[in-house]
Amino acid sequence: MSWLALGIIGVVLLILIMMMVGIYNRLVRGKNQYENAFAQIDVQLKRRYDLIPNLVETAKGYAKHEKETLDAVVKARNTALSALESAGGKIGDPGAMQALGDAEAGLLGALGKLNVVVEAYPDLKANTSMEKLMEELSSTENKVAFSRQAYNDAVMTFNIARESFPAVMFAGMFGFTEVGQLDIRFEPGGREAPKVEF
Amino acid sequence: MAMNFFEHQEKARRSTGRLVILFALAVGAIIALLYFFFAYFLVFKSAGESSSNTDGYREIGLWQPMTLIYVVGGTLLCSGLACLIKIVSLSDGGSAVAEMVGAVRVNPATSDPQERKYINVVEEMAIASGVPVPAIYIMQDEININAFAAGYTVQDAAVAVTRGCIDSLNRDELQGVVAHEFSHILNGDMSLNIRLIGVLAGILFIAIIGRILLEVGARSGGGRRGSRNKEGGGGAGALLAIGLALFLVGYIGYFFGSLIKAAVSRQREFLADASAVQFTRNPGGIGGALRQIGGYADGELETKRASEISHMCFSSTISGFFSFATHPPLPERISRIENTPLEAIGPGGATLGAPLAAGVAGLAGGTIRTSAADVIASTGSVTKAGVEKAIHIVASLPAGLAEAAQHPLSASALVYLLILPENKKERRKLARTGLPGILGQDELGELYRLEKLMPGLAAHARLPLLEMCAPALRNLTSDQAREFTGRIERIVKLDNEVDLREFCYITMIEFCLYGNGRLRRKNKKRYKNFDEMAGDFSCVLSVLATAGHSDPGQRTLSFEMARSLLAGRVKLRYETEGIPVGELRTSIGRLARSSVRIREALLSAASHCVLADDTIEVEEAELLRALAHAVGVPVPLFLADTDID
Repeated sequence: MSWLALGIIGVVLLILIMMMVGIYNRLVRGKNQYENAFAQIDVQLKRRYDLIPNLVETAKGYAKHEKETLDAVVKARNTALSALESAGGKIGDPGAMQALGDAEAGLLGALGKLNVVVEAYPDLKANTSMEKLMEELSSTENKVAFSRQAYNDAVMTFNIARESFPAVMFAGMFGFTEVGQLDIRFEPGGREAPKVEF
Repeated sequence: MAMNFFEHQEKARRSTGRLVILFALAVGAIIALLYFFFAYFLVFKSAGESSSNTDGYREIGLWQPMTLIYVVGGTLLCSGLACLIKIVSLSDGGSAVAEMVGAVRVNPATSDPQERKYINVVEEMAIASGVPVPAIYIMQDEININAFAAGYTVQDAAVAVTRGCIDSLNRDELQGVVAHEFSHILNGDMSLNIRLIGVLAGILFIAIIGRILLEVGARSGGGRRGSRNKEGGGGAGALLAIGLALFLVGYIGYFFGSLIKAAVSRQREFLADASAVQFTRNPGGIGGALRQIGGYADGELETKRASEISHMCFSSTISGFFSFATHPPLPERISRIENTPLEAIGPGGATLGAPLAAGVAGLAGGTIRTSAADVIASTGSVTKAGVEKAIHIVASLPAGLAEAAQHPLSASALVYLLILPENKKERRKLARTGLPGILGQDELGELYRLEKLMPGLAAHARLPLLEMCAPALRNLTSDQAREFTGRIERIVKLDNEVDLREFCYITMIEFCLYGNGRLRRKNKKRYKNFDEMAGDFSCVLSVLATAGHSDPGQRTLSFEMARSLLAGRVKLRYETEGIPVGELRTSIGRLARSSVRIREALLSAASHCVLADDTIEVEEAELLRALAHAVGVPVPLFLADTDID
């Protein structure tokens, strides 16, 4: 009867191996997905960081007395840029993601104050290059929000796959650790509806 | 005469059928070998036992039904399971395969000029051949020149090249390589490859089990030698013997399987090379790329999974024991490309003639003279003029719109805009009144921003723009995709008119979003009989006839053209009354899941319907192309010389 026992052991072993291969492949796919989603955020954030110096330069010409607000924007932008750079090497690391989220929230706050300033200077608001920059900024902001949702979805899917049974038994062995979402805790305070101007 | 898309698909299907027979024979041989091994093994075993056991001699002959059942069951179960797993994992779409071998998506907003060039070349080739832009991948760590295409169908394909490819090739050479990969996509080589990989994986699995048993047997045999346990020693010996048998038989099967795979693959490579020259009309491009490879050792990939995708690649990926050239030798390929006249290149005596440029003799005023036969003949092929026109279209797109196609948010806003009416006034009215209740604020803002650019978009550039949105839309997460399709549904219902273009766009977008593989699994019903499709033909062709002509007499005439073409196959009924929105949608969905023959008949009838007056308006041409998209047939750009300056 050792034949039967061997057969059973063999079949069990086979199923186990196949299961592990399946789990590994699924986790790798999940990792690819959230890394790809982060790359999308990365592009838009960098683009936004590139836009801000131009914006500040343009604003300076009209609103010299708002140096404090403008400096705060530049400072927040630099903090966010370095947070992004350090997060780039360890995508999904909960600490890095949190740092980036906080820096982004700070930048959004500073930009919100800049918006108030712009409203106070009709000339600045009417400036065509300022108008263009502001529009591009809000467009990239929307894109960031959208990509961030995609990233968080992908992270959630990955974390669920990682923590579900039986993957949870092997995930550590394969080197898959928990991945952090990118949360930007910033309340925009009731955004106005986009204006139609055709 | 050049083969068209349908013939290529048909041929791929037939050669798949032959392969299945070959592999069935191989599996049969494996089973027979294993059976005889086990039968002999048991005879010897019983002989050994009976010599020590004098009173009851049991006769065991070579005919052992139970052993046969075990061997057949075991082999089919194991190799079938492994084969199935492989096929399912590969048919998730081109992206899954590309990611499996470690390729990464090219960042759509990349500032790297080489990557930019690569993206542009792929987009242009996709637009020229009439397929949605595939997912674009790059293997950053590979410095050799190589490339591959993956995916089950034209709608969920992926193209990948190595870093070396974009760095060391010039634009023409890169275009040649990309055209080569597109030929694999258009000729149906990829689904053939996936099945090949699956079956080989099944056979290889037998060998892998054998190797595991060998290792286990060797270890347990070694461990128990000291204890002189006869039973255990016998078990280990049996394990070793079985393992060796499985290992040998599995590898012999794999050996022959690989031979077949390599032979098939070499044929397809010659075809792809020839098609690349045909698409670009520039032997220097692909020829130069091959010469460049010749300068390197060869195109070996470092990735461990290289053997799985070797025959999808542009040049051979692996060398060593048990691997056969999946690609013809470079000099032969180069000489075929450069020495032989275009018309005479092709595998197995099949000649690829000059492609029929659909309607190169165009008329002024946005109409194109072409014939329905040209439409069918041009499916799945590309012309140099087509590529040039695609380059022209991409270059003349309003900058903001081309850029918007690269990001999921702005790409979805763009799709909403393209689904809205073409007429500026109607579109703006709907956007103002209908959309705020449907879209979120982010999307609304993006849509209003893009709307201002829409007047700069030429009619013939609408579908290409939609094709360019495909890679960005594939980046939507499943939640986002669900919301997106839900919103499209509601936008379509805003105006209570039946619009064929809208539905073709939607079907195409759904294919892009969910990949053909997943859609196929969700809805398994396939249609092969013309009889059951009569209602769907009538529905789509009625809408087409009504949409293309305002005069009732013209409408009837064009419908009659389609009817006469399909006479004997489908009984058409012209629905002059309005067709419910849902019915058109269902019909297009059913047609998209019907056999190649049915889709060819549909496209042919649709071309006759549109071309009843021998000229084709730009709008009609785009409508026809959109319909072709929806049913998964690549129809290249229609050309009017007025468009190409």
